[in-house]
Amino acid sequence: MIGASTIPIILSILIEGEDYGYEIIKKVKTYSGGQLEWSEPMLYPVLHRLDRGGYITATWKVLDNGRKRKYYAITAEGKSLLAEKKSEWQQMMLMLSNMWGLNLRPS
Amino acid sequence: MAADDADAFQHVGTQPSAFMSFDIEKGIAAWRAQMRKHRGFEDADIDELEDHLRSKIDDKVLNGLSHEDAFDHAVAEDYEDLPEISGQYLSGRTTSDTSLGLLANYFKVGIRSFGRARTYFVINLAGLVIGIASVLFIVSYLNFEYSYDDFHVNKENIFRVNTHFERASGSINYPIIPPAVGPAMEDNFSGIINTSRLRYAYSVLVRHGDRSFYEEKVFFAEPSFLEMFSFDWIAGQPSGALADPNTIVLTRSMARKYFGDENPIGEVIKYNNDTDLQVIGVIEDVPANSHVDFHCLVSFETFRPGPGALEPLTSWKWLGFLTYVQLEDGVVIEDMETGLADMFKANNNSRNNLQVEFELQPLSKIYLTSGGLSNPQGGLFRINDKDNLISLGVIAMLIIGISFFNYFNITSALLRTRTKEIGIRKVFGASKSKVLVQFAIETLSMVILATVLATAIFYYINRNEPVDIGFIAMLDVALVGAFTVLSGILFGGTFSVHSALVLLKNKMAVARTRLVSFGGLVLVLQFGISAALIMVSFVIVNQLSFFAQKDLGYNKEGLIIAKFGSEEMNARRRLFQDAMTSLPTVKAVSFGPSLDGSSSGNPLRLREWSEDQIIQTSYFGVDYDFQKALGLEVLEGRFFSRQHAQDSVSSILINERLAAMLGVDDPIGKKVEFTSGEFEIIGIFKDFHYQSLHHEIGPMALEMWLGQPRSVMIRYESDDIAGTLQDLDATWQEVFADGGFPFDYRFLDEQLQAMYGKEQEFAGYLKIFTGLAIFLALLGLFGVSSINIQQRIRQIGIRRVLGAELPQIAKVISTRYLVSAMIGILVALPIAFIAMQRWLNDYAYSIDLGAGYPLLTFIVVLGITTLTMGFQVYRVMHVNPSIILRDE
Repeated sequence: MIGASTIPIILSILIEGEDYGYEIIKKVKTYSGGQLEWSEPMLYPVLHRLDRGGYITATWKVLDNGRKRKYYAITAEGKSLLAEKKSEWQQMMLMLSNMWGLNLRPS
Repeated sequence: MAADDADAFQHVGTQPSAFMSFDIEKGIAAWRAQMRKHRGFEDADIDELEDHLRSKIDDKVLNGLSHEDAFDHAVAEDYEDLPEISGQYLSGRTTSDTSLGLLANYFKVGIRSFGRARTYFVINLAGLVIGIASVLFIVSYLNFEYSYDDFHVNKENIFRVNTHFERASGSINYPIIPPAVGPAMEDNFSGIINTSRLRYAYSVLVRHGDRSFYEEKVFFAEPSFLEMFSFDWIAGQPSGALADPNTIVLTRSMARKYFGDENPIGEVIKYNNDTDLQVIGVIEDVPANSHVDFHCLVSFETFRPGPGALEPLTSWKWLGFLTYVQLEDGVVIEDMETGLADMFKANNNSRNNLQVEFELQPLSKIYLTSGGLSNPQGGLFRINDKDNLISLGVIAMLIIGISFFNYFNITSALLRTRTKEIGIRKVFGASKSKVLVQFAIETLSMVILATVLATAIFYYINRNEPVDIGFIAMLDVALVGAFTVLSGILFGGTFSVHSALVLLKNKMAVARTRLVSFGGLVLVLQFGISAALIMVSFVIVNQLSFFAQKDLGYNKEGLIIAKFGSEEMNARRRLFQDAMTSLPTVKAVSFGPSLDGSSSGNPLRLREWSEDQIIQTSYFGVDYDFQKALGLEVLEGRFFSRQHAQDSVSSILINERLAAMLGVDDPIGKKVEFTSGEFEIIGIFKDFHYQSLHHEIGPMALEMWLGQPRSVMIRYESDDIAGTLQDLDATWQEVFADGGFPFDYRFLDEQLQAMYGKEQEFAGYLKIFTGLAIFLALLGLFGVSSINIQQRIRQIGIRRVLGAELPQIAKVISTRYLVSAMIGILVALPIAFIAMQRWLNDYAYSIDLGAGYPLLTFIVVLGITTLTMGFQVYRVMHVNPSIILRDE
């Protein structure tokens, strides 16, 4: 389940704007209330796969202090993949909330 | 290391924080160099990860860490398992699939970790094999020792009648009772199915045709003996066997020894050259787990009290007969014991103030709980000390405990390296149960492999012994089961049951903290157990060598004891003595006791004492040459002499102990009542150990006995032992030229050692298994410290690159182990000390348990630990840091 959530989580962060690996990790920590921590170097192969699949793009930028940093941004295909995943997860959440009596409404 | 760094270090002294100014660029360069060794990372990956690393270090510095610590932490948190990460990068590049490809990897991890940890695999396996094999040995030995007399069909209903004598001079427990008791029980008590008396025949010269040997294990037995006890018949008629006088039942080996393949039934053998016995039956050899041990049984009707006997077979005073009873179900044992005491009081009519109690000892208890009984006839029956067996059992538990904790410690240390893998798999969706299953499979296959190997070793070493296959198989299954369940609980509990979120949070901080403290506890435990075992071995081995070296009060070297047990031989006694003493090497020849720890006892009292004032006194019947042969010291008065005719009937010598107990100023010349009447004390001899050193020297007397001896003592003086023996044998054959009188001898010092046979066996086992336990503990220490160092080797390597010196490195590596060792030793030694004090209390003569033992143990354990750690430090210091960083 956590594995399956990796891709929508990444895409959901990137839809707010382009970002780089370390920052993505920090945002995941924040959004999960500190509950979810990834093995950090392992994030990049996932980003690279999404890149190769055409869901995101990657660009090297040079910072003021001379450091190189790679930024990732979501593509149109990424957005439609996210929409797809979103409806899947919503259905799943709805089903589970019904089963657990949480009374969520589809938004 | 740069020269200026070293100089700087020397100037600032030993302050650890000042010994290097950390250069983050150097660190990152080293890190990059290492990343490049793995083909999973391309330059772009490394660039990207470097940015990540720097961002992380910046954050940590903002949070208050030093640059150095920030760097160390950041690297340690993310790159514990580089090969695994590199593998993920590689597979991420080669597959276009964005979600799959993780499950296949899951199987590879297990196999790879096996290969990567080959050394630890071997350590783990060897540890488990040694542990399991030791347990198989000890438990099957214990199983055998606890199976004594199990094979008798009537075992639940058979008891041995023991007596307990309470006298003013002390109390004694005997397994032998007067001959009148058995028949009287049958006549007077209800609920008795059978009683059976056994009389030990000492050593007997047995002859058939040209074959003659001394037999040690001969008993006179009533016919009921073979009905009560379940010994298997091979030939002859069981019913009514041993009812007639002059009949004998042989065991299979004894029948073969005298008759070869002939049928012995109906044949006649000669007993002590004076009595013909007809063989009426052959039974199987007495099982090894029988407390009674005999080679043949002569019918009780054949037994006649010898010319030296003081009492008839109807005696209520003669303590000389093992007596067994078979009771009906439901008999109240206590009532019968009281009845026996009453009956004894009514019949013994002794005017002595004698407190006598009887005990019905269950058959199943005889072998292991007869230690408190005096065994005056030497090897009358087999016994063992339950405490020793319990100690071995404890050692077995310790060994299997150490071997399991080794496995747990090493495996969990390795798992920490793999935690990342588990965590990753969890993040990407591998289920908890799968992780658990993988560990269970690994542990199970390891334990099964170890058990199979251990069992093979067990069978190989016991290849000539009968082995209870069912029992061993059961033990194997139990061990595998216990190991698997315990591993499941410990590993599963620590690593898999936590949810993936908790597991990954803070990089396993939760799980790791728990493991460290538990692992630390285990380490302390292991050091403690090893220290305790080492000290226990020191003490026991020393106590036993103390036995071997203790001054017995006479000269035990250069003394040969030979069997001299027949009337025909005794007839040629003078001739024999003259022929032997004419040999230049022979210094003295004396006929008398066999010095095998056995002695006779009788009440003794001064003539002026009242009737009920007596001292139970041991005595030897000796001849004129006893003093010279034994090298005994007479302190006052004189020894027996041919010049004093009355010596052979009415003179007596007493030992110092007895002299003190008599409480008179000058005992010499005093008259005492003893065995056969009135004696005059003519001398006092120095106390000597006439029994094994388990017993304190008691009151003892020597009187003259010129009748049939059991043995002859020959004192010789020669360095050429083989030549001396040859001369003795030639002289022997000359005197007994008609044959049939074998020269059956033992050296006294050998015979004395045999008195400590069970202790020696125990000490032998103790040495082996303590050695193995210590080896296992060291193996564990080595394995765990190696892994620990490997995990921190990057940190150590970086420090070395940056100029750390030996003291810092040694401290980083060994503090934890030395502290654990110290705590373990300090906890264990007092416990071991108290246990050993209790153990030594059982011995009348023992070594002093001084501070030397714990001190020596402390030094040994700490020394071994320091050596192990020194080796680890050496390894780290003598490897090029760049290789460490590369290898990780």
